[in-house]
Amino acid sequence: MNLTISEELTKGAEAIISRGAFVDLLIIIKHRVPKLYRHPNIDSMIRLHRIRAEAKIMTYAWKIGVNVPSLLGIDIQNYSLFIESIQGELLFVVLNDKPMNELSQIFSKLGDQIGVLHSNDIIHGDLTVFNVILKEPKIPCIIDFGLSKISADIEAKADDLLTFYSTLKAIHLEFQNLFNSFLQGYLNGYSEGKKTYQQMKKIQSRARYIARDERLV
Amino acid sequence: MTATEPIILGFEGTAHTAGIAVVQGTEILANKSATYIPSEGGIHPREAAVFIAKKFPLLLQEVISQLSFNLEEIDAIAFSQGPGLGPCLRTTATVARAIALKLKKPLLGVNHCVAHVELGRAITPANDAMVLYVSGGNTQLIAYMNGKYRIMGETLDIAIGNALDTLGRHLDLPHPGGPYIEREATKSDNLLELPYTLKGMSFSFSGIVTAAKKLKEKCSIPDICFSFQEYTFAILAEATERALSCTKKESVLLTGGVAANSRLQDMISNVADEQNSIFHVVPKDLAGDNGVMIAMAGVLLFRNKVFLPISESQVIPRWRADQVEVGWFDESNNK
Repeated sequence: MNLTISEELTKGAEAIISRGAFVDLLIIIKHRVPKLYRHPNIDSMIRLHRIRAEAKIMTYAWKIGVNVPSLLGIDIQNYSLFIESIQGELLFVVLNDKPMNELSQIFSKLGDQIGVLHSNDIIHGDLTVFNVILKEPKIPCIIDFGLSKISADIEAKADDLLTFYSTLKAIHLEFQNLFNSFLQGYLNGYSEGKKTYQQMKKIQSRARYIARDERLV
Repeated sequence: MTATEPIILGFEGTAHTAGIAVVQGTEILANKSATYIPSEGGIHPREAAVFIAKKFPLLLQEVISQLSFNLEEIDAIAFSQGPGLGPCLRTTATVARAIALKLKKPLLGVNHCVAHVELGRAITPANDAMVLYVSGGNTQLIAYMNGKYRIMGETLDIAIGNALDTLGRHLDLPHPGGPYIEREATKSDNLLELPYTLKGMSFSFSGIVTAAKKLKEKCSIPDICFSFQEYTFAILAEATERALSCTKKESVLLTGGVAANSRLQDMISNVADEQNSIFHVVPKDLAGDNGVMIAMAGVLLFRNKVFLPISESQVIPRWRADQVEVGWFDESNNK
């Protein structure tokens, strides 16, 4: 096989990401490494489950036309995925450099894409601005499907929205405006989107110490 | 420590602990506390408040007797204004207001969660850390960004300490469940299957408690305790690792009552190593709720002149850490 692995790019929370080439195509190799802190049975269960979920669901998302990198190969013995390399910056990285009107467009597009995922019962599972690459000029590309699953459960879809909202709130001062843009796109991409949003607010109100005024946002 | 450091009297009373301490800067001059243990079931808010009301006068006398100076010498009174159980908060606020009026000293309203973080920053080398705060009432990943403590991840239902207590009661272990579950867990290495509930950097525990309770009929208590710890702590560790990987914080700070658990310490320490971050844990005697943390957070408020007029000192039972304006944080390592 004409596969070369050239350099280790970064070490994420659960995988080592390397750059490589398959023939002349630039690729990313995502290798899920064992985590010594957890019980070996839990560790292998999680890694196996996630590599399968990621391979399956990424491919499915790609098929229905959502902006995700295409999956090129899977090596289940080594817990490794071979993925198309997307040129661009993480959304998180450019978040503080771009003007609000441009960010609004990006967030609306991203919301629309998530709406398409949800209308096909695809749950991302770790939806944050750390898992979106901004492909030039400004196309949001969704990555990291390790925690994803197929589910029609409204609760799971609402979890996606809440995760996105909470992380955004933690890292950006204009989180409310950005989330509103995201939501606008989401409602556009998913006809049942309003129900998911209502459910998100319900989950939010279950958590501890949520201020009353925030429950109604 | 210079003589100009403010001397603060701190009152903690958000749930089951009544704590009073006097600190000068980061130096502890006196520290007394008493913890309410329910005769059955979990913490009853009213009974906890009655307990706190009874203990404060006794604790205050003990604290005064330990000081080498008169109580008039203190600069301000800090109290836990929230979050917590309403009756406990109101009792504590009443005591703090009375003392402030009597001594004619300013009042400082401290956020209990922020106080846990500030105590850790004061007594360990951690400064700009990813904080995993694990207790009976709270489980949060907290990090400083843009002027506030941001909540990167948190429990979507019950706190880990609450989960341990609930499981402990079901298994007929004494209260609080955590230490007893930890002891039982050391007797087993047989992993039973439980759900793994991580949602981004947040998590939930009530489903795992329900699943673990159901195992009681056919499995041994050590096996259940071992498995419960392995699953819940692995979830906390992974959430921490994700938060660290996103924020690249220089250190990890483990605090709150459950920080005393050595299995959890091992896991979080390992996660810190993996992400090239330095692990710090608040010592057992100060990891749980105490007056020192309130007093030390009070020092920072005092230096920033964030005084609380008595007329605005009503308690805030749902006060989140990310609602506090943090005017004192210096990200460079000069604490």
